[in-house]
Amino acid sequence: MTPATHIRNMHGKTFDFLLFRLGSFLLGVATEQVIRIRRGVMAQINPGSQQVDLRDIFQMPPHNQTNNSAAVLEVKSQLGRAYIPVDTAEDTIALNLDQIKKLPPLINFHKSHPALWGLALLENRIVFLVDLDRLSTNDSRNGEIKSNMV
Amino acid sequence: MDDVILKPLRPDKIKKALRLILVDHKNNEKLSTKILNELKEKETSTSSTPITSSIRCLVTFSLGNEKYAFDMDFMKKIRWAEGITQVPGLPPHIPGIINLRGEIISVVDLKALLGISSETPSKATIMVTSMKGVDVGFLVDSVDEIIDLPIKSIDPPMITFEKEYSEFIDGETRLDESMVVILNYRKIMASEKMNIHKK
Repeated sequence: MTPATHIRNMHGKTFDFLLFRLGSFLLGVATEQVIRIRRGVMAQINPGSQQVDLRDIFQMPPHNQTNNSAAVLEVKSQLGRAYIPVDTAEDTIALNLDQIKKLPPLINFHKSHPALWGLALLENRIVFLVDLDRLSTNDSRNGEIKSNMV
Repeated sequence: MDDVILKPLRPDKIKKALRLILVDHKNNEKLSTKILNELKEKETSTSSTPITSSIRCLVTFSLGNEKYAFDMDFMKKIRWAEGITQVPGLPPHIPGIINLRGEIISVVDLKALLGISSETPSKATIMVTSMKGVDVGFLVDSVDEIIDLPIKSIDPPMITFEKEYSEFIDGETRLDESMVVILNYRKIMASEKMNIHKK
């Protein structure tokens, strides 16, 4: 993925993001980091695969309800191939630079994990942008990368 | 009545007339400059009068049953507390962000920040403030009025706050039978809980 810091000289370009829901939040990851989207829950995925629990990383309450739209994103990151369970994989969108904003200073300081790097303004929604390459950053305050032995 | 015959002016007379017009124009210019300078002096003398510096312009607002005030200098906009988008993993005193015509602004729950426990009304208000180019919206119960308060009428705080909050208070004053606690905006913004504009 293009590092967020290198984005400033890219006016006129668009960037493709996959949108997904986790609880009440709408999040986005660069499509170039996504290998495929699988329907269902994590238990159905390859044993021994590396699981990234974004709920844990972003300090969201655990989701215990049955969810028919649940999906698992198979992604490539600095951790190698990893799997991210999400509530719903929504859509892919092309964002231009005008739609992408830095996090306000207060939010940037208090955010729970450095992987949350920016946000995008859609018509009446705000998408939080996640950089999967930063998931393994050492200054992760509460995040945890699990090796899921199913 | 005899007809008046207008004769064309001789070139030397035209020059003389033009010179007069130019002189008059120059005089007007001098006059305007003089007036402008006088106005400037008047403005300068007014702004440096002790009356101005001895008054604090404040905006008062409610948090629970108490009234508080911020300096008006930092106030940018006031709007209903609608459309706050939660951000994952933030502390309780930061309920989220708002999109103010394309500008993303952090929202701070001032009651949570000051340790005041009371329910927020359904129609709460956000005071959008600004300092050194950083905008922050403060969630309050309601915004009441703008007042010019003589500094001499500000007393040391009587309301007891916990130590971590007491540094945020400049003093208090009585306004229409109720006490108004005057908050120090700069100290709040530089506090550990905000971490903006740290000294």
